[in-house]
Amino acid sequence: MAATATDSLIHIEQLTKVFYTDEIETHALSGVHLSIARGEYLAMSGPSGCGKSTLLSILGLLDTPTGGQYTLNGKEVANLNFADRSRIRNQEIGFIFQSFNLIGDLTVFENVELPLTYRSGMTAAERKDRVMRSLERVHMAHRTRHYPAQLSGGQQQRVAVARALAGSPSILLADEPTGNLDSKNGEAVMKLLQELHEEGATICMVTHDPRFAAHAQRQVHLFDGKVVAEGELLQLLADPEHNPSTSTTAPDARA
Amino acid sequence: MNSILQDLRYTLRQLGRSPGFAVTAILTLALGIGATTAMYSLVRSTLLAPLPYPHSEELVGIGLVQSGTPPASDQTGETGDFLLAHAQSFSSIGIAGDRPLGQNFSNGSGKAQTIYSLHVSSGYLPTLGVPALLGRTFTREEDLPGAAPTVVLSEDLWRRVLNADPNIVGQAIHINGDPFTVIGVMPSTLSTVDGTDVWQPLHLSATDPGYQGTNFQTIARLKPGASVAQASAELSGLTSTIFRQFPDYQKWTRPGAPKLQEFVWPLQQIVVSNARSSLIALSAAVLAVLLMACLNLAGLMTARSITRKPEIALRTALGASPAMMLRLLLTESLVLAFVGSLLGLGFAHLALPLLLSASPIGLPQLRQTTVDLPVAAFAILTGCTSTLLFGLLPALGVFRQTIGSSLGNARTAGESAPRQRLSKSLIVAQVTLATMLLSTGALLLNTFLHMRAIPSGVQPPHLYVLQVNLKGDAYSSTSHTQQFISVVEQRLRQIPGVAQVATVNGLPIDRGLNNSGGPANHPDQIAYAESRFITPGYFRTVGTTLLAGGDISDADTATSQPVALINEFAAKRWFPGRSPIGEYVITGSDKPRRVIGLIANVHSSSLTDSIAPTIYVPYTQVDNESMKTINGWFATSFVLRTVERGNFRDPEITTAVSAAVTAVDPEVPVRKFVPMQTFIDDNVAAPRFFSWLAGGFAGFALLLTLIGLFGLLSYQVASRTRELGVRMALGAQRHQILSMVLKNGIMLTAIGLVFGSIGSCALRSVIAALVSSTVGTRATATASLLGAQTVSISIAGAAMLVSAIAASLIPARRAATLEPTEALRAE
Repeated sequence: MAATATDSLIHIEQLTKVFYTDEIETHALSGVHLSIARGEYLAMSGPSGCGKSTLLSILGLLDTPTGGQYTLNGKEVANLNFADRSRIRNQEIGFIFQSFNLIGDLTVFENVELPLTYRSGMTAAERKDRVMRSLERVHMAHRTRHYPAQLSGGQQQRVAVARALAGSPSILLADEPTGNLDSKNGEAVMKLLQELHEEGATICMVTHDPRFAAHAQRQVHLFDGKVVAEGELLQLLADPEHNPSTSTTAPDARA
Repeated sequence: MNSILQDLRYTLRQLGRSPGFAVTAILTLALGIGATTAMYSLVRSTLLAPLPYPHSEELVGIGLVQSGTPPASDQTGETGDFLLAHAQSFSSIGIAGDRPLGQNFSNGSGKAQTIYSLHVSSGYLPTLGVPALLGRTFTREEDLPGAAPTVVLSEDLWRRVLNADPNIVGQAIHINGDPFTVIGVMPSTLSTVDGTDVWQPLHLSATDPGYQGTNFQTIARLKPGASVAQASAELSGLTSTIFRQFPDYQKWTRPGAPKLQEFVWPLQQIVVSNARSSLIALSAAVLAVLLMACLNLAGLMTARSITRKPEIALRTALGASPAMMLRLLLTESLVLAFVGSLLGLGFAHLALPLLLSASPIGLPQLRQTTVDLPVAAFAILTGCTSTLLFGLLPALGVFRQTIGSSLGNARTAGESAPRQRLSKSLIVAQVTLATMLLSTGALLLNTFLHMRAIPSGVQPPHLYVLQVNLKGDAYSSTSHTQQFISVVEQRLRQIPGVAQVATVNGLPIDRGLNNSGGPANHPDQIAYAESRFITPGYFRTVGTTLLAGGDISDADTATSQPVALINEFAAKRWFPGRSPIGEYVITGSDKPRRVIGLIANVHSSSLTDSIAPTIYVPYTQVDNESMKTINGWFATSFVLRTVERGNFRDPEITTAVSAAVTAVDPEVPVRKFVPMQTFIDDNVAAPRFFSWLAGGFAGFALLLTLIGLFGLLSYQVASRTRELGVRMALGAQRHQILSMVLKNGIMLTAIGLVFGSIGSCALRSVIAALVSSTVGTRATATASLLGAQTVSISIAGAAMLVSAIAASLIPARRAATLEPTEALRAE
């Protein structure tokens, strides 16, 4: 279900990202093309260092690309300033992190309310209503006064999902949402994402676990900063030149 | 031993790698310990040192004072004599003049100088129990009126002026031009207490004009086994008898004031009485500064131990036992404590002489104030205790948390709540103390400014004062005194730049004769009044307004009608609703004088004294007995008004002024030649000194708070980087992050300000007591001098808030400019 530039929620074209460290150039993304349709559930996978997190940061407007185009909800957002990116991030994007990233000295309620406090013109009653609805969606409405440290990992991640949902974003960006959870809690979170998708949420999830990637409608594979087809990825992974870990020759012997 | 050396080497290397932390911690400790050590040394040499007399615990002072006044040994001559005759609790009693008086000393070299002489009864020096270095002390016969003039020298004068002549006993020296036979030399320990140069017999007699006034002090040595309480009880029982026998005591009680009573205090308390409250207040301020330094250190050490968490966790994982980790942390604390203490000792060594020379309070040096071994031990002990309590304990708390947690990643962003509470509490405590110090400084500064703004009643610009002591037989007559004054005035007028000259006994804002006085036709209204003795042109010269009538003139002589001028206060009290001109007043036992002029009020002995009824009498009309008395007790002041140009106090003028006096009588040295403003400045020296000192402490406290707040917020930003990244990921704008950090700093400051303001209000009574004891004001006058507490708290609050914003701004900007992707990666 690949979306076109006109009906997609997200459309990126020829996206590049280069990091400069001292005199070294690192090409994290080398001309990525990707579209995500409204209501689509996309899984992004690839080996370590392939550019998944960089792409997710750019999709989430946490970072800016070095080149290329990025259209979100029909608006070009690649070169916005920090303030505009923050505003759009607050309104359009919901983040779910691998390490939950709940704030330790805020209660469950306050954590979920946090993105709403950065919006102007929203009354406290409206905020409360949205927070409670979000918490109810993740079945955590009974723990509003608890602190994160008083919750299990699975519960913390559900609160993190509620926080991502509270602002009614256009898309949920999930970065290895099950990475810090045991398999049982991991499955529970995946089920929750599945339910949200069925309710109409657009989700873009980064994962390296094929079991969880299988929950998505569509899987995208990244390799060396480019989107590649699944078959191509397997081929590349099998090639010792691209993937030294598969080499039968010891590195010292090659040197 | 090897392990300890290894820890020491590692600690030094670690501190070398964190120079910012090391320098801040050591300087914080050094300044806190330096101030505390200097103050301890001062308190030890004054409040804690015993008097330098044998069995000094037996020595007491007996004071005829109002209840509630600080320890004093004031006594009238008649009550002193009564105690000599009736008090049973003492093995000996000594009576002395109320203070050492300036005298003119000449040893025949032709150059006279001012020395200070204390007149003492024959029992005074034996009561102190210090044997003479040479010769002996006074016999009872030598203390009788009319006895041959004798004198006992201080060791200091004997060495300084008489070249430690071993044959001095039996020789004559000249005091006020009269020969006195030296009968002994007292060791220097005696002079350290009150700065006396010589002792002369008191010759206490009922015919003494000051006999009925509280012009004496009484000391006594308790009988073996007798206590201060027993002696007090005995004298309390005698008080009613004293007042029945001597009803005149009422003359020395201001209307409405509590009655006088006999009190007994340990002599040490009386000697340090003036300095006591000041030193206690300063010690409290210094302890507050030390506490602030400790709180700051606790904050620094906590933050540092948190940055060392990975290292601690790694060492623990590699098998380091808790004891080994404790030793490592202890080594760092002790290194900081030792270096900080040594630097603090250096600060104290430098600060002590400055403090002593700048202090306007007479600090009796009962023991040399210096940084000696006990003081050094105190500094190092304070340093180690402070560092271990405030540095090591918070660090240990972090250490315990660290070994309790794993090396793995945290799943929440930001600091733990208990650690945040500790850091925040430390800052709130610092802000509280700093606010109290700042508001105290502001309150004292306000007092100083209030005092300086009080009109003295004279016009100080271009007004100079030349003071001399006219003592001895030569100046016991009015004619000789008048002759001297007249010729000196003529010579002073000839000095270029001098426009007007006059003379007064009892300069404003100085000492003068407390007498009795009132309307001649209403003897019932005769009560306490000030008497001043002047030459024609005095009011014009000092710039005091003549409100009605006329001034005295050369026509007012010893044989003309006795005249006087009175001040406005006396006129309103004695002649309410009518002009006093033409009325008659009496001063002391003088004959009635016709009032010829009404003068504006002038502060007599200090700016803060309430205005007293004052009678001005022409010098020419003072009788011989009164002249002898006022010359004996007070300096004669020539007042000079100069033309309005140039600096009058250049060396040539000073020489010319001195020559004008010595040309008339070479035995009369110039005691003082200063601008009138100096007298006024001296009057406000104590509040000025305390406001500067409190300001200095407050500035230091503010600096520590700034460092503490900056450190805490910087640390918070560093440790909450990931949380900040999360907030940005959720849509926080940079200005929202900036205001969040700023708000955090301001909130902590605001909480500290609330506590500090409450503490400042509680401190007001302590500050009032300090001002009252150093300036000598009554409670109502002190309250008006201090001004509104709200002003001082507002000043402190504004300073704290500005500082808090300044301290928060850099960490807040750092937080606001974080890149979200990097912030989210932070551990």
